[in-house]
Amino acid sequence: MNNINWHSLFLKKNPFGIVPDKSPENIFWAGFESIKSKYEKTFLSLLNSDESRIVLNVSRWGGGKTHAAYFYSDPKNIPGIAHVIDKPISIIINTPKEGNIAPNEFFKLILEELGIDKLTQLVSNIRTTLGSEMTLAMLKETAKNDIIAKIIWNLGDADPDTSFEASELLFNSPTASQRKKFRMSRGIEGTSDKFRLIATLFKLLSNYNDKGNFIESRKIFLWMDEIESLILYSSKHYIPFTQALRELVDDVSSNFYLFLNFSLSDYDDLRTLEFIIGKALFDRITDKNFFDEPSTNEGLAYIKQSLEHWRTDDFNRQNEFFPFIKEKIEYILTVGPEMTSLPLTARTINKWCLAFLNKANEMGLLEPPVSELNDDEIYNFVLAK
Amino acid sequence: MLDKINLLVDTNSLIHLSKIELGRGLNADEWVYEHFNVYQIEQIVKEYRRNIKKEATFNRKNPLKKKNNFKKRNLRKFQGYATYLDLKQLEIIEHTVVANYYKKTLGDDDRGERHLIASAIGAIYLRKFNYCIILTDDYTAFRKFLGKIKDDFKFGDVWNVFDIITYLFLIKKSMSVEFATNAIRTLCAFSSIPVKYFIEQHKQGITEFEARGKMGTFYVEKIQKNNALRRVL
Repeated sequence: MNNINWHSLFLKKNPFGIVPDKSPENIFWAGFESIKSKYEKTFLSLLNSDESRIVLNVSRWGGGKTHAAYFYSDPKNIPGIAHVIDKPISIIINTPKEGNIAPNEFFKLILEELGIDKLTQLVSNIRTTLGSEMTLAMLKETAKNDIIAKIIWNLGDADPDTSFEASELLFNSPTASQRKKFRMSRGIEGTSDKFRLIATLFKLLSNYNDKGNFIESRKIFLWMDEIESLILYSSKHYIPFTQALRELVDDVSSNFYLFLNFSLSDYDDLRTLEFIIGKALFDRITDKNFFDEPSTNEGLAYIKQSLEHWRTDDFNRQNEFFPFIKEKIEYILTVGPEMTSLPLTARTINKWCLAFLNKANEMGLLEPPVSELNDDEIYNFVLAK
Repeated sequence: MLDKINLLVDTNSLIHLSKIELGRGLNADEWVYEHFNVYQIEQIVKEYRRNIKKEATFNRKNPLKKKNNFKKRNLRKFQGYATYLDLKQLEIIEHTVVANYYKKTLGDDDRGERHLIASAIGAIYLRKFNYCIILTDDYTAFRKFLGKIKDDFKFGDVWNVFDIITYLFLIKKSMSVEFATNAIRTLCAFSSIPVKYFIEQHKQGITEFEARGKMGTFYVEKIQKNNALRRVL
C-alpha cells in the first residue's frame, strides 16, 4: 500500500496528526470554540493582575492541553497582548516522571528552554546598561543569595572563558580553583538553590528586555504538562518538589503564571485529582479550568477547519469536508464514543479521520481523481475498535 | 496481653513494606514484625532471598548504614518457616484443593501464592493457628483463585499492604494521618503495586496515572474514617 498522496485530496499535508505539531509555523486552532474561549478568559484574567498565579487545566487525555500550550506560547495568539511591547515568555516542559531526579530534571529543562546562550547575552547586556557593579548588587538583591548572584553575574562576563565557566557552574560543583576565581565558598547545592536560581532568572526576564533595558514588566508563562505524573513520586520526593514549586511562585511573586496540565477521565472524582496534585499545591491553585468533551457539532467544526487550513490553493469543491461525507462523519462522532468507550477528544477525532483515509487508501480509493468517500465500510470499521 | 495475628507473607509485599517509613525511624516491615507473627514458607523465602541479594548488592554501594544492614535485618526478622506442614502435605493440599480453583497447570507461575494459601488452609486444619492472614499484593492471583478459596475455606483473610497500613493506623496511636497518607502515596508510586482493580471499575477507561490516584484516594479515605474514631475516643 502506498503512502497517502495528500495533494490528491487537495491537502498540503496530513491535517490529522496524532502527535501535536510543535512548530510555530504549523500551529493553529481549529474548532473547539468553547475550549478556546475558556483559555482566552483565563489569559485576560491573568493579564489584568500582576500577582503570580497557578492555573490548573483539566481535560481528558488527548483533549488538546499540550496543543493549547504550544498555541498560546506564540504571543500573537494570546488575547490582550497586541498592545504590549515586551511580549511574554512561554516555557513548556513535561513534568519529570521520576521523583528522585525531579528537581534536577526540572532545573535542566527550564534552563534548556530559556537557552544558556540567551541568558548569557541578557546578563551581558544588563551589565552594559547598568554597569558591572550595579548589576551584581541588583542580582544579590534579587536572588537574596550571593552564590547564585555571582554565578549569574559571571555568565555575562566579557571574557568568554569566564562566561563559559559560569555556565558550567549551573550544572556542576565548582573545583577549588573555580571557587577561588569566583570568590565562592560553594556551588549550587540542593533543590532550594536550584529553584531560587530559576526564580532569579524569571525575575530578570520579567524586568529586563533582551537589550538589557529595564522594562515595566514582562509576563512569564510556565506550562507543566502531564502533572498527573506526580503520582509516580514517593512521598519522600513528592513533598520537597511540590514545596519547591509553591516557593517558586511565592518567590517570583509577580508576572509569573504556572499552568498545570492534568489529564483526568472522571470529572466526578475531584478527590483523586486533589490526591495526585496534593492538598498543599491544590490549595494554591487560583484558577481551575475543566474542559468538557466537545459536542458533535464542535467535532465537525474541528474537522472542517483542520481541512480548510491545509487546503491547497486549487481546491474548488463544494464539499468543505472533502473527501469525507459530512453526514457519515457526523454519525461516527455521535455514536462512536459510546460504542468504542473512547472519549470524544481532538486526538480521538484525528485517529478516526486518519483511519478513514488509511482504509480508503487500502481500498485504492485515493488514486486521483479522488471522489467523495461514500462507502460505509470506510467509516464504520472504527466502531468495532 | 493480646495474641498477635499470624501473617503469611508474599515476597512483593515484604519488599513494599520495607520501603515505607512510618514513623520512629522505622520502616513499615519492622512495624509488621512488631505486631504480627510473621511466617514464611520456603518458596517465598527463596524468592525473597533472590530479591534481597539483588538489593543488597546494589546497596553495598550506598554509604548509609541502614541500607547496608538491609540483608541482615530482613533475613533475621522472620519468626520461622511455617513448618507445621511438611512439603508432602503442602503439595497434597495444593494439588487437591488449590488446583480446583487454579484453572491452569500447576507450574512455576503463582507457585508462591499457591503455597501460601495451602499453608494457610493446612495451618487451620491442623489446629496450628486459629486464624491467619495472607499478605499479598498480587491482585491477579487474588482474582484468579485466592479470593474464591478464602470465601470457601474460612482460614482468615487476604490483605494487601494498604490493609496493613490501615490496621497499623488503627492500633498505633502514634502513627499520624500524615505518615499514613505519605505511606499510601509512596505505595501508589510503586509500579509493582497493581492497579487493575481500579482500571476495571471505570467503564470508559482511565490512564494508569488516574488509576493510581484513585487507589490512593480509596485508601486515604479509609485512614480518614479510622481517624474519626480517634477524635471521639
